Amino acid sequence: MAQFIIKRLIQSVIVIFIVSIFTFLLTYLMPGDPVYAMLGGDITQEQYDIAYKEMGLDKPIFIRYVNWCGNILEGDFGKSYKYRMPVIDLIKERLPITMYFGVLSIIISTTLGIILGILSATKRGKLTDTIITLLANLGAVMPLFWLAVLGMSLFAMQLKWLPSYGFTFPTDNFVTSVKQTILPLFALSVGAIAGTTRQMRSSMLEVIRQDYIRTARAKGVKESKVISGHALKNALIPIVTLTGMSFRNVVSGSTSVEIIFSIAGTGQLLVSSVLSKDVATTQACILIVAVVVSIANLIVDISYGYIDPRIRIQ
Amino acid sequence: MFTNYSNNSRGGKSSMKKFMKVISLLVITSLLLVSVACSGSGSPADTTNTANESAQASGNETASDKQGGVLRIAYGDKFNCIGYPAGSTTYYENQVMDAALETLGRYDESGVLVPYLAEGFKMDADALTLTINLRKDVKFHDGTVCDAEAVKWNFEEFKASGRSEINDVASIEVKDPLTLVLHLSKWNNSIADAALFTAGRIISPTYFKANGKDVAIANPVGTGPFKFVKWERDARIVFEKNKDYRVKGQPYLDGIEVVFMPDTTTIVSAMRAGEIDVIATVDGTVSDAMEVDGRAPISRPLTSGTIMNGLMPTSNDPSLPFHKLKVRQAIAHAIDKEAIVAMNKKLGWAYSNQWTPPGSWSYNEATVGYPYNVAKAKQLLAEAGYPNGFTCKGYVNSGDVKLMEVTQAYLAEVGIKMEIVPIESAKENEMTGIKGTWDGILRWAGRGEADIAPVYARTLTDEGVRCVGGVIHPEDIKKLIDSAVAAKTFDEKVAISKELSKKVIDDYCLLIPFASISSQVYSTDKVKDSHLGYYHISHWTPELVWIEK
Repeated sequence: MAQFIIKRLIQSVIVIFIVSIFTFLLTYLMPGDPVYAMLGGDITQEQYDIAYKEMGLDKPIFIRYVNWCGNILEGDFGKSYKYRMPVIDLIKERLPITMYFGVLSIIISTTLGIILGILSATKRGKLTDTIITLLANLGAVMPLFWLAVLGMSLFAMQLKWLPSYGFTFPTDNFVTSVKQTILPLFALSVGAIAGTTRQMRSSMLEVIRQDYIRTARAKGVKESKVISGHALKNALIPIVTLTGMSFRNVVSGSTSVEIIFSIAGTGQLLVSSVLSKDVATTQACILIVAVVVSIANLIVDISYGYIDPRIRIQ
Repeated sequence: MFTNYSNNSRGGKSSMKKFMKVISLLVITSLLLVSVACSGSGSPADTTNTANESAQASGNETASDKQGGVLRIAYGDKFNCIGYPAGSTTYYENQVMDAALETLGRYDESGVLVPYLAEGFKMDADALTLTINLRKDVKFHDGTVCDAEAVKWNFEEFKASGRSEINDVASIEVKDPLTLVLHLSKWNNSIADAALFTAGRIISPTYFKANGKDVAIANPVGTGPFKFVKWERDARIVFEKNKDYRVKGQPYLDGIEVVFMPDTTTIVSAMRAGEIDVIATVDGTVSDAMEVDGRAPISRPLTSGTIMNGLMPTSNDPSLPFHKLKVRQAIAHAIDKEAIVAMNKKLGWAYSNQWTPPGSWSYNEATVGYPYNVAKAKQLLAEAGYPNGFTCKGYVNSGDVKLMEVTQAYLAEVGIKMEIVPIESAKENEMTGIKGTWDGILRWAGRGEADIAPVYARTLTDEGVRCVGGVIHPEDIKKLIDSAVAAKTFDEKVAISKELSKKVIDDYCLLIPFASISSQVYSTDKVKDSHLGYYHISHWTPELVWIEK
């Protein structure tokens, strides 16, 4: 297992290194001069020259890359010329907001998805299964932005129960926070719940047909024990993959939900940084997402070994 | 197999019941959470307004009737700089700054510059000076005094940042703590507007020096009616009442909250739900929704301080057809500009055949322009050597592609096949910046001011800063610009500016204007005296706003 983890760690480091090169180069290959992107077009030659030097654009690209990597290793992601502040401070502001929604959404979607998937599989062909499958299919095909707008229209505009915008941490104002969280979280979670439910159902159906499940039942093991003790663990492997993949959303956020509900998260930050050619912020956001995805993949791979010993032995 | 499963599912039924219980519990908990969270929420939607007068003119209310409340203004555009006037690049950043920073002068009902933070000012063409008198006992939010030295520092910082508006100021003399004299290198009759308004938002030098530019950009510390509290970037900016404001009894509001809403659906929803009071940036979706709700804009068509838009063909490249005057004129005749403007009337568009707002003092009624005339366009193209038209590129900001498609259709009628090239703002700024150029027709929007000479100087002269690399710089235009700026009387300035307006369009067709766009602002009926989009696109009256109880 240790060998497996070391191998996967080395692979992750290589992936992050390649991503760092692409990220660095791509941001400079994007159309538009970063100086104009930062200051707008209404500038004099003098203003241009000052900013050009300030942004380090007078140095060769290789030197800029080496400096950038060196600074990152020291925890310095550079300075956002759009926001006029260190990128690390910007990310410290935005990441907790995006992670708040991302983590809640993963907890809700995974928990509900697993429960509903098991329920649906064990009640296969019955009314419960039909209803859950129908709802899961509906949830899977409904676009996220549509759900967000629908929720806003109903609960904010018509009923006036919930606010249509904004974000507050529960520690700042619990009631306001709950009100502001419900609609974005609903929009973020419906699709994920549907996806997890469908995956869990199909996975569970496959597992409960296996010989070892039949043997357990033949031995008189309680059905709840059969499901929770024998079937669940094996049926969870695809869910672990699915959850691992959704970890990138925990740090990169859902741009459409953040835009619709005016939430200043990292999704919105990344999109606006790309559009405004805020080089340092774009590079930092992409790199952080790459690192988190690599770590999540590593954890998923390790989890496989824990959940299914056969993988560990292989 | 099925029998076996069925038999064993008895135990499963009991576990399923448990599952169902868990789900029921979760649902009930969620409902409880929602009901707890929602209790007490929901403010009733207010009634709609029907005319801008109701929102701007107050009645017989006393100052105490007007006190209290927090104004929530929604903007669809992001802010990058709210505390360093020289770094502001958009009118909405200026509007936000106005809550905490005051300009030395601002515009009145008829568009005339009047003293505001300054007590008075005097221009002397013979002495080449602008004298500014300041008010006594005015303090910045950090407690320091706003005197002549502070104002002098602000002007020097504005120039040092690379901004060119007050470049004609050669030196600044502090005569006494409340008087400073700007000595000019040459006479410039626009200097009062540039110094008192554009460069005249005054910040605390002490705060700037202690904290640096990057902090100052995000922290407006001025003398204004509201003190800056916090800026949650890309979310909201909060201001609180300045209890020590220099005008007793003002401001009336307890605070202002500026909300950034990138999605227009949210803006409309929040307005209808009563969560915001004012919509300060409007697109088609918002104006349609406001029309449905029976709301009229509180702003009005302006004769200065607007945004002009239109087309700018590359005129300085001999390898392109647009180098020929007749081709530029043919393009102008080929497009039904009035029809395009009519389609956008509800967004504050007003047709103009010259690059100055209709009704402004520099608007020249004698300008013929280029009325829609396909036959004339074809004739001009044939005379220029392009009887069958030609192929070209049309550059447009990616947000304006639809409008460019309409232009494309009109040009196709006269044989000009225009390929639309959408560009992002960063690329647009590069193409139109001091080092940039373009090879085709550029869809362009820029300042719409009555004082047209400084506007044209920015593009049609070698000393310009915007779009200079794509247009010719005729010598006679340059002379007219210089003469207009150096005119010693207003009448002389008006006459030369009008001549300039006509010459740029009728004699050179360097620009093909479509419309003068005044900002569209909507508010609830309760909001009074904001004057957003009423005097000038870049300023309003935060100290006078009040919310009807």
